[in-house]
Amino acid sequence: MKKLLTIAKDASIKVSSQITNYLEPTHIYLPITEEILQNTEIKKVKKGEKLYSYQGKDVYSSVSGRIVGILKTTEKSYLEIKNDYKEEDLYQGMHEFTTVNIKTNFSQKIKEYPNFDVQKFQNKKILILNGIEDEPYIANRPFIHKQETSSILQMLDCISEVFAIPEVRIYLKENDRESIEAFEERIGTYPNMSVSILPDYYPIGNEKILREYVKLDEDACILTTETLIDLYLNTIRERQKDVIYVTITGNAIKNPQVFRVKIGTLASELVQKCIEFKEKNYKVFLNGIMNRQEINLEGLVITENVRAIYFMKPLKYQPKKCIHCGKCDDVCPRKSHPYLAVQTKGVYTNTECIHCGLCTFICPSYIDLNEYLGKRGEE
Amino acid sequence: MDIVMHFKEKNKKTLQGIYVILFLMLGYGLYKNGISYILIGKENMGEVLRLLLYPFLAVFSHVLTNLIQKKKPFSNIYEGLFLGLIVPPSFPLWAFTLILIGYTFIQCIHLKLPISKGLFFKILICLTSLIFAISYENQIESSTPYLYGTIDLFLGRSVGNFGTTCILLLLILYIILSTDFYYKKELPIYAICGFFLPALFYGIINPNYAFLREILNSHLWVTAIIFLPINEYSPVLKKAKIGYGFLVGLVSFFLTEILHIVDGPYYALAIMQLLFVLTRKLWIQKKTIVYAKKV
Repeated sequence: MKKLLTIAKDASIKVSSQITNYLEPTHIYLPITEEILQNTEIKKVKKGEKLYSYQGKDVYSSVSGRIVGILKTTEKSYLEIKNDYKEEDLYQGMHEFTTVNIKTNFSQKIKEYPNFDVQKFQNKKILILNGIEDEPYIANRPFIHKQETSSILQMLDCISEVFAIPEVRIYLKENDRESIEAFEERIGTYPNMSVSILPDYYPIGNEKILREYVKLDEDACILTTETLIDLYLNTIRERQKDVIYVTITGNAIKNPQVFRVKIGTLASELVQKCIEFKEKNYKVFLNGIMNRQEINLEGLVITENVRAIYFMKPLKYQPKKCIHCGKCDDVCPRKSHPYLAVQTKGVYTNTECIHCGLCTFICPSYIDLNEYLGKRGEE
Repeated sequence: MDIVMHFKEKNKKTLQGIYVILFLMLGYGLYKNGISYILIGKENMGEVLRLLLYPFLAVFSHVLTNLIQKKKPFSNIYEGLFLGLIVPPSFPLWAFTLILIGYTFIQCIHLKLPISKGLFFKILICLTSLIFAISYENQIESSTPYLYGTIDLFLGRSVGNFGTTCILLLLILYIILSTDFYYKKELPIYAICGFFLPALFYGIINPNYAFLREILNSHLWVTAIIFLPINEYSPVLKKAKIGYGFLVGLVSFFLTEILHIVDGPYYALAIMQLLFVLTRKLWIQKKTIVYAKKV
């Protein structure tokens, strides 16, 4: 395992210690295809109501309201639902449960839950909760840990008992003090669980890197905090996820913070109402600053896959010629040889690359090595 | 795509350290080759001023190059300062000036050289020294009975350039350079080992071989610490680094034996850099073809 890097954080990016709720969007937008649209009636919908299936996944409304039309962007079409702010819940009265039958309910429900691969958890010895963010400046997991500590522990206990996994470990980053305190306060009642604190290295939150770093073998199965909360909602609470955590951050804004947002909210609406800018010239990135997935904010809908939106000032660096320092190869945690990718102008391929962006980050010639390695992904 | 986040190079402190060491080297060079000479009443102040002119001219040419290239005129002055230190003390000033003019011209027209520019500069000095039979010897040191003791060699009593004979200062420079993130710090170690092993073996079989004098040859250390790890002319992959470093040491050993104890390491590195640059080109071409076929 290569030595990982600690990424020096920009002091101007400080995510607020308070979470902000943005749970009353004027409209929500759900992905839809032309075919589905033809069979969709214009009607009133309730919160949590199943509307249709999109790409093999059921689509639920996160608010109550009325279907009013369609939003077409260059990439996708979205069904537009106008929020009536009544929050008429389809689940009213359904989510009462007792602590006694939680495990029985869970063992029955888990088999029906489509997004959970039961095979991955059978005959394992260690269950790992990966509570470390895999990108810098994202702070969703610490907030989830703080707010949902009991649910997370309960869920881990259920999984370990149902699948007969004797040991449970919760991996947290050393600078995530609040999560550490929250878990250590409540973990005492679960003797098979422990909290492991890892250094603030990048990209230790990535599952492959985590496995290598803590030397986990095939006997260990890993779950992320978000997956665990999904499981909790679907199996124990028996309801669909309608709210997600999104970090909006960057050095071009004054108030970086974590939001609880309704799924389907238009990102531009959220940004317009809640974010103050200090820079006019900025670039917008989705879900990560290191893998640099640049996006256009207009038409971006907050779906389950959105974890963070970055507003960053571009640095005034121009790419120069490679000076053969080899630092890209030195820092690569997957030994993907980004140096070879640059020298062979992207012809060299390596399936081990996780696109962590460390090579681009370290390059003294400001070459976008991630782009060279990215060619493989496009193929 | 614009870069929005980048590694913060903490090279300010490295540069400050390099400046301090280079000024110490300059001071030591002045003391050893000029001031001490005056102290025993053999020379006048003119000698010290002449020696001062070498680094001054080299820095001036470097600033001039930067001005022509529209860079910050005082960026990387240490490069200029260093050029002034790698000349033999008795090297004629006119020849040095001529070489500097050529060097500045090469920098300004961005002429691609198969070896690093600093090494090219040193090779020109070596060749001129050879043609004019210029001695690297310090006259005071050669007249004393303490010539070339082990500690003396370490602290700077040896034949060599104006300001680079002190191995202790060179080692401090190496430590400072090693703190720089982009410096290939393992290469000098491989090269010194590559020189040390055959020298040790040769020392065992040949009792007349001055092993300590050879291994404490400051030119070998200057080559290994400063010229060898230049990124553009050295390998990237770990195995290649080990092989290259050892080969440079080995070739240096043979050339110091065959040619000259002073110039040998420079010639050895020049040859190795030349071969390496050519090999790398072919290697990249080959790799590109191989991977293109796979795709």
